[in-house]
Amino acid sequence: MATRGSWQLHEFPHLTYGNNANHKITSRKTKRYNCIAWAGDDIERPWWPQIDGWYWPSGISEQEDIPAFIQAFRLLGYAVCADGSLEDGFEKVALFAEPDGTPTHAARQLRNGKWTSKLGPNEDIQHDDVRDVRGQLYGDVCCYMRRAITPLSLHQRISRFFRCIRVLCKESYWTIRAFVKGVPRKNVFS
Amino acid sequence: MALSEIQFAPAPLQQLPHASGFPYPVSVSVIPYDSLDVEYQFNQLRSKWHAEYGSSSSARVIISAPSYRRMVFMGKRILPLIFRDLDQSPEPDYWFAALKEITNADPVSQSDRGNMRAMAKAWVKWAKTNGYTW
Repeated sequence: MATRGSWQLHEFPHLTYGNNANHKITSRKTKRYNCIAWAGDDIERPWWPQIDGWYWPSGISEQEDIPAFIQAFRLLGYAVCADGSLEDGFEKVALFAEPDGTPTHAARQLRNGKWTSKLGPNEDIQHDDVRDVRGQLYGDVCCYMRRAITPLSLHQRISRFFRCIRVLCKESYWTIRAFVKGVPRKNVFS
Repeated sequence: MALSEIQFAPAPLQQLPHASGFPYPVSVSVIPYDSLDVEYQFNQLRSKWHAEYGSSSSARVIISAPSYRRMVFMGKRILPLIFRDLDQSPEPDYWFAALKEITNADPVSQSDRGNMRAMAKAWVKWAKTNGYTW
């Protein structure tokens, strides 16, 4: 993967590069899902309330505020917790907001204690500290949530397997299509 | 037959497409200047729009960007360009709010909300049904 993503440097002033890099890119850029979906482990559709073209779970508040986002993650089994420290048996998400409380971003903790973020329509990154992506664009962390890690059921394992196969097929399709048509292949990562 | 024997009769005025004063029916390749202009403007605004929302994840920021609003104000003229993107791009842009706003239609089923490919398919089908070409 490239060491430099598609974002503008000024958008994430706390990300460092080169030998002292505090992050690494873990996907291609894609618009198929956004940070909220990524934090919620959904790579099929972007999540946001109120706006046509974005998914939002039915039955919860459509307000664009932190309580609505907390409700959305509650649906996924998360509950509000005190901080973003690594806790055995739990996975965590951090919700970001602007100073006025407008939600901006969500990051998910990995089992190694690092965090993963989808940077808008750009790449996913793994970053050392949750607050590495804070700044004018995403504001800062306003809330942490956690849920118990449960082993994947057989059904989930099978779903993931077929999801991988589907991604591989799609990637191959677009690569071959671009080759046949003689046009540059656009980034697709689902 | 000598050229001087050929009689040229002026075409009746009502047969001329624009009463331009040219005396004979003419075949003209019309360059769709307006279409080119719209496409140029659309592409310019689209690039600007991408720069405006940058790495923002907020759908509100994305569809409130000034260039997005300007594209929406361009109205139905940009629909073929949007439908082309939805039909041909492996990863279409965030056009769905604009489409709904411009056309006042909503062909996306509730279960497909958020699924970009499914929404793109629904809109392309709607466009074909409604006679759009791109």
